[in-house]
Amino acid sequence: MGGYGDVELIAKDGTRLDGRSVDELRPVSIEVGVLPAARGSCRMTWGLNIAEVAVYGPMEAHPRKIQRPDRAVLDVRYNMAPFSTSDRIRPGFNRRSREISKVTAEALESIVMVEMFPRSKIRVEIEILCAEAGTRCCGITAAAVALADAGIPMKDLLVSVAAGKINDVVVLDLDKAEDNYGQADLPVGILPNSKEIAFLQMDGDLSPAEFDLAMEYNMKAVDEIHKIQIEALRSKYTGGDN
Amino acid sequence: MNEVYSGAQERLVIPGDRIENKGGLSAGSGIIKINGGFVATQLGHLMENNGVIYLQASNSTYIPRSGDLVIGFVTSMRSNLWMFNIGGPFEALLPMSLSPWNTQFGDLEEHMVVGDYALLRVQEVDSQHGVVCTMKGIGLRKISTGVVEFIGSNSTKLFIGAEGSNLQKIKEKSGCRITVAENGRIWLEGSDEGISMIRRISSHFSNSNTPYPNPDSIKNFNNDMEDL
Repeated sequence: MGGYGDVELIAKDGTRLDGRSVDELRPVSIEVGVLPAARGSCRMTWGLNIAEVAVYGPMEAHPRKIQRPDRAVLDVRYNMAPFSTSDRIRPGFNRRSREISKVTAEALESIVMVEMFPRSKIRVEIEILCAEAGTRCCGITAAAVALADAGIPMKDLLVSVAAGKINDVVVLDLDKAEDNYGQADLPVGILPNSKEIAFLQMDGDLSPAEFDLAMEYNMKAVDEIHKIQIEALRSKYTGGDN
Repeated sequence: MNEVYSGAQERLVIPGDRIENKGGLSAGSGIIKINGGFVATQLGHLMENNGVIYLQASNSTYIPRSGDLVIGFVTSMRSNLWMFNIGGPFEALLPMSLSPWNTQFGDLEEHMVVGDYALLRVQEVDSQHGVVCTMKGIGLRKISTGVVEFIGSNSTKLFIGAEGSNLQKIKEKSGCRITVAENGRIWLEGSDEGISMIRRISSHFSNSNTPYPNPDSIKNFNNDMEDL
């Protein structure tokens, strides 16, 4: 959030700079099983974002000190490739990637039945190959699909999406300019069937009415993205014949 | 919201799908009860048998069960036991008391060292998923001849075929001895030509672009079986 609320991001006719309406998502597509070495994998494109996720395990947790006697540990690593943005990103972990890895692991723990694999570890590697805005949402949504592809028992899938505020208007799915110059950002992770919230973060300020509207947009988007997740998983396992 | 599937349909379900329970069925593996309704927890096909509705996962890691025949390799050793990788989430133990040899404490390397393969049977799986194997039993042995191939635990049923038809055909045509273990590893013994032939057939699963039998690999495997 740049907080420059005076930058014109919405045209007079109500459309945004990229021509979308306020409650419209960027184009989303998911491809399952893209990495042969991984137990489960997927590639997700969301606008200009491209995320690839690989899932390995469950496997014996090493070092042993990270083992939990009653459940599996989700070892999530979120990383932006150095070439993912126009400014080269220094390779390796940084404060932001650590935070997103932690948030993602906690969100995924609400769907994965970790109690089925005591003392083990499930490795989730999220690599952002191209970043526009909303990479954490893209990574989490893709990770849920890759976990399902890996055959990890889960209560539900997980969809993450963000709404925000630009020029005092609540909009869905911020792009780069809107993210940089907007006033607020509200990424959430929602279980699509039960509508439980797995994670919620907020950057900037929203009034209660704006918050409700942002959540309404998010809930609507969750259903749309969930359909794309289902379609991607089904087409991989049925060869498109469903 | 997902579609609601009748329990009798053999349909592909994904995690979170609600499953309709019309006929008082009980939930089997891969199905949990949430708010009185059945929910699928894995990607796979719904099956129904004797009043139990369960899920045949399309891709899942091998979970050892007591009595399973497995092929493992030694990953480490202690003074009185070997640790085996059996392809599951947990390493398996082979105590020297369950080996076929009269082993002395500390002399385990006389019989098997790190990297050696063996045909084992899962003796016990405890609540903490500790796996204990045995090598005492008919046919269980150290593997010192032939080759071990990996086809994946999800592909073994297809490889064996209905009532062992595929396996029998492959054995006859190749002239090899084939042992299919439940953890998705197969042990091949025989001539080089026979082993090459089996490797070509099993490569549809082992070199597949997914770790599970996808429609392409199944189609290619079936074509090869017809051509045999």
